[in-house]
Amino acid sequence: MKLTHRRLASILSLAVFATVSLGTGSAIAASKAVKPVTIQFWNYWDGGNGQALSKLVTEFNKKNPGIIVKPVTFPWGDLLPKLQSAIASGSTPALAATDIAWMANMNQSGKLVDLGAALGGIKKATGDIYPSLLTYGLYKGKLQSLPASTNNLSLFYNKDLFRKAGLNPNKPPKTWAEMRADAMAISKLGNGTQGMEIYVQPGEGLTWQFQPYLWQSGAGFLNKTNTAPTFNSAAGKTALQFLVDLINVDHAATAGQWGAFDKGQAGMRIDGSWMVGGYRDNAPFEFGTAMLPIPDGGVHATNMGGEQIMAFKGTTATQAAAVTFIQWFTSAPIQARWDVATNFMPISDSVANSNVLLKHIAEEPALKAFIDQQKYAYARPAIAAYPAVSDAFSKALEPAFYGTVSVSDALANADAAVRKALSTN
Amino acid sequence: MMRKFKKISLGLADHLVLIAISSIVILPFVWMITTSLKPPKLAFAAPYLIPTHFHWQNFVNAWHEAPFSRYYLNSIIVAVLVTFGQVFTSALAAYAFDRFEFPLKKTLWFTLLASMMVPLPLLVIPSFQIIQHLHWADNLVALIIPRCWSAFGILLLRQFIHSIPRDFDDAAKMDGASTLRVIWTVILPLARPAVATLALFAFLFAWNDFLWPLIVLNSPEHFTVPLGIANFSGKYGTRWTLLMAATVSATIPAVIAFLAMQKSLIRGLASGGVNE
Repeated sequence: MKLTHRRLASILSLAVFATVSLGTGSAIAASKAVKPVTIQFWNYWDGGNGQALSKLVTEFNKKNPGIIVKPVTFPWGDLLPKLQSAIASGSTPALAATDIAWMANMNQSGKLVDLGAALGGIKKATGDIYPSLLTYGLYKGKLQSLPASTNNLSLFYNKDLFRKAGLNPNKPPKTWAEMRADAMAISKLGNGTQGMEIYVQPGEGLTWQFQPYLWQSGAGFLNKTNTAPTFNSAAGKTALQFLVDLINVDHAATAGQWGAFDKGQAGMRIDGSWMVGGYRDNAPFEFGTAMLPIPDGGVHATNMGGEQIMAFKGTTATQAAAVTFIQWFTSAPIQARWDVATNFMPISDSVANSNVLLKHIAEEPALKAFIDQQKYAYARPAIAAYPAVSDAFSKALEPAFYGTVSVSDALANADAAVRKALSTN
Repeated sequence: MMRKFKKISLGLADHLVLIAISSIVILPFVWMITTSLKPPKLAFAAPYLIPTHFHWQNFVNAWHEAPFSRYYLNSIIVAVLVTFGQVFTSALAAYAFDRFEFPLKKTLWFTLLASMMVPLPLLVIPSFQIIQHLHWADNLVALIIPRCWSAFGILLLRQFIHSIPRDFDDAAKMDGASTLRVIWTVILPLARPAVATLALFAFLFAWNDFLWPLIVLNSPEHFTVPLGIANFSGKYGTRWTLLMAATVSATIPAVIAFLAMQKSLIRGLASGGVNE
């Protein structure tokens, strides 16, 4: 098929016409009244949390005609690499909410808007938000993000299995010894029923689940300056030995695939408040919650989770729009409604004491343990090396749960691996 | 009689082995379909393989949760265009590498082969930078154009074209056919099994691709099916029944693509066994 000159000419003229008319079209659009600023809000809140966010965002967009916020949900495990590649290539969104564990990476990017400066000073910007939650947003004297939500780990237990094992379903364990006794009683039910389910897959999941045991027994994770590990101590050994024995000596817990508790095949599990709604609607058993049991002479401790919300540098208009949204989203009335929809924990006293949230907690008694426990929540080290540290720590600990490496060796290996991760990251 | 019995029992044994192997392969799919039809409360309850509940609402919910029809359309556009693109460019390049002599042919050929050794994740950042320079970020074009070339496709077609006698080309050329016409009307129809294999691989690769769309796309209106599915399993839990309903929906085009190509694929395998 050969193109004749005439045909070529007609194609070219059509292309020129199309380009010109498209160009004129956009020029006309641009000359119209001021267009609202559209900004993207990257996050990983899926399912019910995502729907709750969409509802709030729609409300915000209605109230602020000059701003259109568009939430974009990315899978949890992929949001950090997505943000890192966006930072590297200069294509960041105006807004993002990320895991608190990633904040050190975000803070160092140099792309975050100084919220303190934008909102009339740090004090004004933070109000009565709990100081422990602000550690993630403060960087070199600047406030670069605000808590968008917080949560912690407490004990979930299966009341049906407690009853079957002859235990009082309204008396969850308060100490490690009680937890061990209950787990042993439940595991005797047979049919593959486990007393307790312990998360042992390497990665942040293992670290995040194990850290409360360290803190409860008086061991630390890293020192105050986050430069060296402190878990390889007598207290650290007690903590790890307790779980290893529960699995390998008492045969009251299993180390393996996570999910037995969901199926009603495990008596207890440590998990977050966000599971409350799901279990209420879908668990094939009656469940209860309690504060995490502690060892004799130990202290209450849990791990703090959650998300920080931040604005990325862009044009004056996108930055202003992002800051307006952050201010609105972290305000007490909106946070209270957000917590009601998601079962996340309050970020400040004014949220905790709001009627909306108090009414919700009265209707959802399983949340009480989490509310009571929040004041004992420890923040994980807010350093850029944390993901590498957590990874190294969990990999060294995993074999101890399977009984293939002794507790002392596992902690010594973890100590060496964490020191290496701290020095190279 | 004895021989007949032996033949039947051997055939039976063969089939028992085949049935056992295919059952293992098919089990996860059966579990996927059964779970997709269970009410969320019974996601982990027996029976695991035989559907006893037909909770079609899972499909409705999965499709309503995200603009899944949009993701589906995007995935189909991308996968179909990438498939055509790869077959087109691979056919031209494979023919040239096999039938023509040109300077640096060997060097180019080995460079092409060497490019297959580079792991895909390593190419992501430089590729993304190119896409940004071209202003293709957050656009389906970024998923299509860079994927229209495939070293594997060229290798596959070249090996097959090599086995087609040059007499076919010569005969067509004597009848006045141009090179393009020879490729299109003589070589490609003869290479149909290889083309079908390439098309199937290209389609499945484009359909399943996750990392590249994740990196280049920012707007939900451009998302593809794998990105949408990944959101059913998050930090705060996995919604198994919806995840499986979405996965069942996502598997259908792949199954259709396979069934459509099946005949050519089997013919390709069979023709390989004939000694000509």
